[in-house]
Amino acid sequence: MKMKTVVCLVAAVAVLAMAAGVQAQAYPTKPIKILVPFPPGNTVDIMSRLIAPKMSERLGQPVIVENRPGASGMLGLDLLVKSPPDGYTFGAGQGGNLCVLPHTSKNVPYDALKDFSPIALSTTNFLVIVANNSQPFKTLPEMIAYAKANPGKLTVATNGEGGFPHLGFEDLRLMAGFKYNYIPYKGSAQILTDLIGGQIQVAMDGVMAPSPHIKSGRIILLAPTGKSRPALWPDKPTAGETVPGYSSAGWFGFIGPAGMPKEIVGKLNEEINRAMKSPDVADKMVAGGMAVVAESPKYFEEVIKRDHAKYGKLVRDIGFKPQ
Amino acid sequence: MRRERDFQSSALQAGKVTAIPAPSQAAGLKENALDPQFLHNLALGFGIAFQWWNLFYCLIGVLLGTLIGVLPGIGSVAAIAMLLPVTFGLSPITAMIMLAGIYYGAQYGGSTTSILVNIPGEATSVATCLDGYQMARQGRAGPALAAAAIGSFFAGCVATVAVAMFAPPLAEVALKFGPSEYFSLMVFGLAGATVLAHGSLLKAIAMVLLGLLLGTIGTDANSGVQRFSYGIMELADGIGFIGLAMGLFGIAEIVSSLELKGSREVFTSKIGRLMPSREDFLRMWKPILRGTAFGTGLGILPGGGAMLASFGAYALEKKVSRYGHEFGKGAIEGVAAPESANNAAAQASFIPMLTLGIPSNVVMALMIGALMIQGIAPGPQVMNEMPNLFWGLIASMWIGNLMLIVLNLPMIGMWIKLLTVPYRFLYPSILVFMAIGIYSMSNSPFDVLIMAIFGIIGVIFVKLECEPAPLILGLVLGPMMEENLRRALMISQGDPTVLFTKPISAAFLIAALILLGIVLAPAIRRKREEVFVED
Repeated sequence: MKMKTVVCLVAAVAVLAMAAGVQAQAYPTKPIKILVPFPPGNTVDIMSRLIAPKMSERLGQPVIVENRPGASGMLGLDLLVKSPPDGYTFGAGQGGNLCVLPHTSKNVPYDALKDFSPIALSTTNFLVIVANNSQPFKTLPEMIAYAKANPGKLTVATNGEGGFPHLGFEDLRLMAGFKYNYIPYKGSAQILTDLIGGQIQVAMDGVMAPSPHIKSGRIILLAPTGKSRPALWPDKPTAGETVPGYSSAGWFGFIGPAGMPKEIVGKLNEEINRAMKSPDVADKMVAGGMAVVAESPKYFEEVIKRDHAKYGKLVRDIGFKPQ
Repeated sequence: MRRERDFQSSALQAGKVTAIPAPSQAAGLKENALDPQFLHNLALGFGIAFQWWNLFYCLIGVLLGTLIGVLPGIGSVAAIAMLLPVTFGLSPITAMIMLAGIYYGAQYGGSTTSILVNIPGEATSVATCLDGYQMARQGRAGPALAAAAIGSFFAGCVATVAVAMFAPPLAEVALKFGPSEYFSLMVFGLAGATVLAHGSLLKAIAMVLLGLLLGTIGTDANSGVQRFSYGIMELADGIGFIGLAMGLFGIAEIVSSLELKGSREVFTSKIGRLMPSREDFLRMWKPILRGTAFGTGLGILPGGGAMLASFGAYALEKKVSRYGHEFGKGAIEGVAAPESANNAAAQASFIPMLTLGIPSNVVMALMIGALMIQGIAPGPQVMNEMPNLFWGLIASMWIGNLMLIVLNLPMIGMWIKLLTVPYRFLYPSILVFMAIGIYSMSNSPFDVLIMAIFGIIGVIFVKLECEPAPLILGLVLGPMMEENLRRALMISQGDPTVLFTKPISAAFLIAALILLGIVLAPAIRRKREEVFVED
């Protein structure tokens, strides 16, 4: 009797293992879709389009990038949440719509912590604080001194009220203790035009758009906001060196709907990381001011949790009312 | 440091591919534009553009562009986005030549559906619908298409000269436009919208206001509050302009023509000559010149430059032309002017992108994306450090424009044949293409719904004799106006006098007042009514 049970158990385990093996072998049997919740040309779109052909080559199935822009990325992520968690649809996510929007917007249709299966954290970036080149301040400490001497006068532009860079600058204001006049914009191009033209004094934005203008001297880099000095500007003190403890860094990664099988998440993680680390992709990411990290699903999950909590606290601290 | 290296390596790569050594001090544009350096640069550019693979990709680009322009709704944005991955394997200059070809090729093609079936293929060809379609109804589709092609060709060539000679100083003008200047420019544009209408002035103003109201739908940039979106997430970014325009013009046209069974014969029986007559040419050349100037000027401004240019050129012609009373009833000037303007604007919009790295529209943003992927950071240094790229692209624009006119003039006969296809085949297929096109914009079925809804509204407008063009201008300009006014006031900390103390801004406001004065002056108004309302 006892023997029989053991045999049964062994058989059952073997069958299960085989089933799992078959499933992992079988996946993927049809085209895979990467849902990008932003328009073509956006950072995550470029990232997805760069890795798609490489993944497709390895997986033996077409990998298609589909853009579903709208509502700061919420529209696309909502669709992702509603897709079957079978590994044939996954999406691109970033700090903004997973960790910031849930605190600053009232209409977020998903729960960033429960509705997704983190697959891979792929790149990290930092922001830059830049100034028009004819201002009385040339460094971050000077800018803070200017803002303190002229409370509420300093005009600062970022992309979108309650967005990632806006909260980053609010964090700086809180930690350094100054006041400024906030001017919201809808896109880096407009910010740059007005910053170079002297309509506004300071802006906080991603690295890509401002860096050629920093190079040409039309705008001045006050400080990068990463934890350490970036390779691009090894001589420039970070914002954290002026305001101890301050940093503002974003990240981009890939997520699926909640409940994806572990093996499929593992398989996708492996392929995404392999594609991201390939020299031609990594070089292009670095050229765009990003660093390739290629982390595990577990690590990604922790990052989402950590930043979700961090921005939740920040939004409460600055007294921002969710809209 | 790292970036520096990347940049140099890609510069090297470009040099290698084009196989022409970069002159050490090329692109010395700050000096007089006609110095030997300029000619040398041009020679360099043509040398690159005439390499056979660059010619080949230029041809592919303009062919694709024409095709995309002709298919209603499939805009150059969607096409360039889809083709971006293809360009990763090309050298930067070849990639740019092809993508640019798609963009200005679409400006050519966009006029075809506007003229033949009253469906604007591109946002910038809405103004072309007004008279182009009327010409087609009178059997003058051939001259209308030819006027569009010739106007586009001339404007494209001239605007490219402007890009080549005056790019840096022109780009500086764009930098002078801050929020208050934009607001005043938009006010001027809206004042011009009232001139557009050729029915009742009251209806035109009502349509502008309706457009402005529709423009308030969506997320407020300053506070992030969603306005009038009623919890529909698709409305968070406002009503898509393309869907609305295709509904109001295209679907409304198709539906309302179902009523008039007899009109079909009138449409096809009168297909006259294909090419414009001598008189047409005499009437055309001045509007083409003015449209080109208008387009080059407005094209460099980020935002609605190209579209404002085509509407503006139309409105200007209507005011200054001896044939102003024919506008809206098939005046060839009403086709030549906006078509020249939109093509000039398309070329001029490269100026801020190439010289400053600032995109003036979505297509330019995509081009910058394409360059970034190639490891080139677009900005002021591109012209000096990569003269191959800058001058090669400029030279390719001339070649591309030439290819387009050679392609397009013989095709006119073919397009006109399309009109002889019975409506029961033609219209359903157009509807299908429209639905595919609008869906492909952002893969959203909601956009198809928007198009259908505005199709019904458009039919009601036709019944009420309300012109949709002012509404479209209101919808496009309204949100930009609001954004810039509020931004100007935030920067000035609530002081409205900035709008009058800044010279450029004040000049536009005064010009808007004069324009309104002309339209509203009682004597002129009486004349206006007797001229326009009888039809």
